[in-house]
Amino acid sequence: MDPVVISGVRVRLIPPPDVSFAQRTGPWVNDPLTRHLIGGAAYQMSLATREDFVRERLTQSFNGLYLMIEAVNLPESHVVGAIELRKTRPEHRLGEVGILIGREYWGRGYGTDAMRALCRFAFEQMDLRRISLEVMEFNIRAIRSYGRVGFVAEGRLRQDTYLEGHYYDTVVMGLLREDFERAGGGAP
Amino acid sequence: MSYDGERVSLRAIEPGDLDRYLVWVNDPEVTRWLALRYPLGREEEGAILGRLGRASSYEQVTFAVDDRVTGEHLGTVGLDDVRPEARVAELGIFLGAKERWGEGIGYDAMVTLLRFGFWEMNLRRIELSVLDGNVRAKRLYERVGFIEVGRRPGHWYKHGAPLDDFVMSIDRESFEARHGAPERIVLPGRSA
Repeated sequence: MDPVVISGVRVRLIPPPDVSFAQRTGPWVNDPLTRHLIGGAAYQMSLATREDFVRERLTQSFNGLYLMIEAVNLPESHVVGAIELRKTRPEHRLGEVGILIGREYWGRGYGTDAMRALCRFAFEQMDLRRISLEVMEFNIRAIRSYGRVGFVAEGRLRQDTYLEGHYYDTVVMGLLREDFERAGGGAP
Repeated sequence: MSYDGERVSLRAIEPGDLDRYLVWVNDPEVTRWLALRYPLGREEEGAILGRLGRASSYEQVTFAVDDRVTGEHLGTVGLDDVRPEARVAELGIFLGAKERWGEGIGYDAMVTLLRFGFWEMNLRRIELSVLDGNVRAKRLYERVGFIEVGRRPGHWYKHGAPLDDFVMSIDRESFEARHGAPERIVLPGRSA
């Protein structure tokens, strides 16, 4: 296997080679439940739309990271999702993370491992102090996963998202470097 | 993966759909009661589909309608002219697969699109216009729950004469009274 900059235990995080990654994301982002879990309405994204999305994220830098999550413990390595670090601000040394795992790969710890690997990179290589994320209140598995990484629930944006005919709260979670180390995230 | 009803799946339009649309939009039987009338070539229709394939936002949303079981592509539905202040949109639909007319596909496509409009886009009211004489469509819209709210004399010109249309409308409350209200989202699988 090629050397990789950002690795976890079960996953490695690698940049999409090109816009062809958009072919992989269709079944994930067009699944209404998956979309609702990441706080979006179930608009259906054509390949062209998804390619536009990936194209804007092909450059990896302090300003933004967009990486494929590749599981390394499957018979063949397999891309199981994507993770993004965005809205980074060098003045405040913070960023926001977003993650998507394909429905067929839920419950295997890939998300937790990928999140830990990305946060470690952000603290150790980018010297961020704080990483935040937003998660829908009903996404209890994600909230638990983020808690294992060390994220702390800091507040609720009350009824800020409308999905499937109801309003839901968004939970805001934050991770300081010391939260991460306390949760044991420092070691790969 | 797609936004599914009971009989249909709504998905994004893709370039591979072009051949079917070319046949449909140039078929006078399909376009008889639609605003469409001019012959459309491959280049132009391809450009239109390219735009519609990216129409997946509040401003304009367009879906290809597939048979949920067989995956056969049957037509198009969409919402546009959305005014965010009033939260009103205009619905459009056509089924190009003539051999499937009369099976209730249109009914389920409408209900699924209305569900999307009310429950995903948070619209208050959805309107449509139907040409005077398009009896089957008007009856379908009434079965779905649309109510006629007005008649526009000579709003169209088709088939050699000015033609009236009816404006029809449905609000979220009457949609849910007829088709059911949504459950709150619960994550499937292992519980907390």
